[in-house]
Amino acid sequence: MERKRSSRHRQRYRKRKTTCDKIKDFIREFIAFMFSNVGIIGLVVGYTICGAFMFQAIEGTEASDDREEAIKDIHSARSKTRDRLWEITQKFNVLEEEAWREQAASEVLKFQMEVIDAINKGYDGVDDVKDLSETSQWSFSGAFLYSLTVITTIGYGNVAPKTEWGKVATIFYAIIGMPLFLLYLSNIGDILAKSFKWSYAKCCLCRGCGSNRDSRSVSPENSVAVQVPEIIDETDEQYEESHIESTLGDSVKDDTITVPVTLCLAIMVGYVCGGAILFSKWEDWDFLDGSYFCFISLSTIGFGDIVPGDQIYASKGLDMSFIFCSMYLMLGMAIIAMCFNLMQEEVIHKFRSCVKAVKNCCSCSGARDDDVDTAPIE
Amino acid sequence: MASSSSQRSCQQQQRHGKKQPSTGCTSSRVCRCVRVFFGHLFSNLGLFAIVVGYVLLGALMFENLEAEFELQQRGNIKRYRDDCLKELWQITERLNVLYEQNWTQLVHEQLRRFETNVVAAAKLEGYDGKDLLDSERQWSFSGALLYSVTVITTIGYGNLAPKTPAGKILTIIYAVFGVPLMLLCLSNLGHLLANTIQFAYSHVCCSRQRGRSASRRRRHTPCRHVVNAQCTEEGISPTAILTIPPPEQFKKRPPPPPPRLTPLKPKLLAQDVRQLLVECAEYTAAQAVESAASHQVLHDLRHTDHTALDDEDLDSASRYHSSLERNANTPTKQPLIQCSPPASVPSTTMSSLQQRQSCSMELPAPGSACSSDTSERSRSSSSSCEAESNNKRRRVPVTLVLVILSGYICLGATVFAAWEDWSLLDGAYFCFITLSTIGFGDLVPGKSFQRAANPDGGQIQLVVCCAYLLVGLVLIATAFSLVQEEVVLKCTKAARWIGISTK
Repeated sequence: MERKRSSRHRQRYRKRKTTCDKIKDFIREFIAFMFSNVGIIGLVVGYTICGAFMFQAIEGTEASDDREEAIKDIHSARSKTRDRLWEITQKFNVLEEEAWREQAASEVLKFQMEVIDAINKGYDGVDDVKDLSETSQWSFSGAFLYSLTVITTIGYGNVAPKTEWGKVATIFYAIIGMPLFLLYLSNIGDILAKSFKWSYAKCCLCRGCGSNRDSRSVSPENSVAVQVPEIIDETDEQYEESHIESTLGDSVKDDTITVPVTLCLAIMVGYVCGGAILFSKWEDWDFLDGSYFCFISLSTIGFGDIVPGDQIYASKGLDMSFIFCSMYLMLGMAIIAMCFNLMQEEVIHKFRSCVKAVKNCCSCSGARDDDVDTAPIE
Repeated sequence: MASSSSQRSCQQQQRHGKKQPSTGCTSSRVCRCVRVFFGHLFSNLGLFAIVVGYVLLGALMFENLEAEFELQQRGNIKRYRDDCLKELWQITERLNVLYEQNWTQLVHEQLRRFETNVVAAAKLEGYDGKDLLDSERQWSFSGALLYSVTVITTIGYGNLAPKTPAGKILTIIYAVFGVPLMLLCLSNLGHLLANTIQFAYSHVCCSRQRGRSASRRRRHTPCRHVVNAQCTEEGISPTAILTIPPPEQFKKRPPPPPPRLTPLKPKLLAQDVRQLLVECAEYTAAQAVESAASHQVLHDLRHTDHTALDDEDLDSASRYHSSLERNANTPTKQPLIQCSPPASVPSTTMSSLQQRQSCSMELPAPGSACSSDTSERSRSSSSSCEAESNNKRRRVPVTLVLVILSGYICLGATVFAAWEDWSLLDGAYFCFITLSTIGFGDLVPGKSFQRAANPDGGQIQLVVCCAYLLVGLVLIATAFSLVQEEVVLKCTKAARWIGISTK
């Protein structure tokens, strides 16, 4: 009785929803989509693009100022050395090689020091001030790659902010961008892992090969068949597998199929090698350099000594390699997240049993805290 | 062993739900604590020692591999210089009559060629501008040490990078084994430190509260063990709610019946309490205890609409609450929702509610559906540390953790800015970029030793940088493990509010 009254009350309340509420609902749905599975890719890409514009605006002008200065320094150093050499040459009425050499050598050494200073300031071989804008490190594609390296924490460093505002902007950009990228990795990793498990199971079934029996995982008949609310980052492994079980059909009722660790490792190695081949072809590196670059980037170490498109005398073909590099990195990190997701059960279990064995050996502790409500041991 | 037998008697007494003096179990508790602590410490210490050894080993290997190449680079530059001089001499010799224009033009070309070689060496080969005769090397032992640390923590500065093929292959292999090792060590140390800090925090907090709450009832030892056991696990286990023995004032009653869920009116419950009850109901349903009742409750809980309460509901809410207080059929004989604590109900009910709060479940402030002044009272009493008597894990607030982290970054900023002659912003920027493992490498301590008088000062700075880095990463791991549950809860609440999570 009471429930009927309140439901009628609620219906009346619902009719009073205004367009304001509709807009709110729409915004909620939009945000939900953006943070959910596919939309997060768009969110990350959008965030990187915004960052690229921001950093280009902040650093672009300053960087070119510094580089102009460096070029001027180089020019003046060259002329100065030249003039000094001329003076030295003129001084000697009779040219004796040794004496001339001695004096010329010190001049050339000084010139070398000045070149090093200019390099530290940002000189990279581009001689003419006119060419600066074309070969700027902070072009759009350079800034895009920079933003991506910040939020993925790769951090190459070949392009780095030199202005104060750039550094502050980098810090705040990273504070917001890193969790966003981690969210992207976990979501996309989950999706990829699920679909990979599903297709692997299908392949296994089709080929009729024996499934990996994993005795530890919860078999579906014991797990509670409840509708778990789909919360981000909280999909429990056992519910996931019961879902997979329900989609796999009746033939695999008692076992959960786990993807073998070797397959995951093979996928990762294959991706690195594939990238190595592509990059070495495009950038004219050898295979070792290519695989070194791919590995260092994908593990987020990111030295920055070898970066695609980072030639000294940069050509116009910069843009494509930066964009391709960014796509490679994003996809690669998602694949690594997927592989970790797939491997994690096995690896954690094996590691835990190792650690337990070590602990039992070394610490010789009998009853532990979590045995309180079980039967006594002795 | 005496300790284990006293332990066993403790356990038996706990199972029978009897109250017993806390002193009998103290020694066994202390023993167990010490043993557990050393067990943890040993495994963590062992892991830490492995990491340190791995880093030292890596430093030795990389120094051997790369130092030669660095010296070779310096030799190359010297060769370029000599070639340039030779060319200049030949130009000078060749021209019988020295015309300034001709000569200067040719000299200019030579200088340009030399400069190109130097730039290529500096950019591609990592040449640092030093001479062959200089004793300082980039790939000294401490430089290689910093390099190894940056590889396994994935910071990857890049100011020092391997140039030999052997160095590159070794870096890859070193990282493949070192990165997981480092992550493991960090997470272990982080957990250990987080537990220590939480323990210390709850003790400090409660020793302050204990002075104010002299009249409160004594500790209830069995509760602590049971609740501790479940609350130390990740997340909450519903048994923590269901097995809390009744507080002291109810001891005159007979022992509580096995836990049952009453047919509550689900739509009156605030959303999070509802979630809690759903979990309880699911758990009992899974255990096949009182299956009919719990399934019915589960059904009720899931299929009610939890839109906003209106006045009519509030009236019935208060009536319902008073009825609940009289004969609550919950395990602790207390209503799960305390709106306004009447004078007769002691604050212990707040405390048991607080137990569930601190058991990593954010119940709304009990006054959420009621007037504000009663909610104030309930909030103030729930902030009492009575919960400590039943649950040691008092949550460290997120702000405190953030303050500690910012303090550490500022400390590093001031120290490095003073040493390296950077600005304070540069120091903070360096610390942030390092600790977030981005690691650009444009600013690295120890570079200033090129300008400094004594070359040894640079080495010390590198080692200090390594230490700062490692301690900072451990702190970050600690911070993560301290606030992770709360942050995840808040995020899921936000997500639910937005409507991402489907029901």
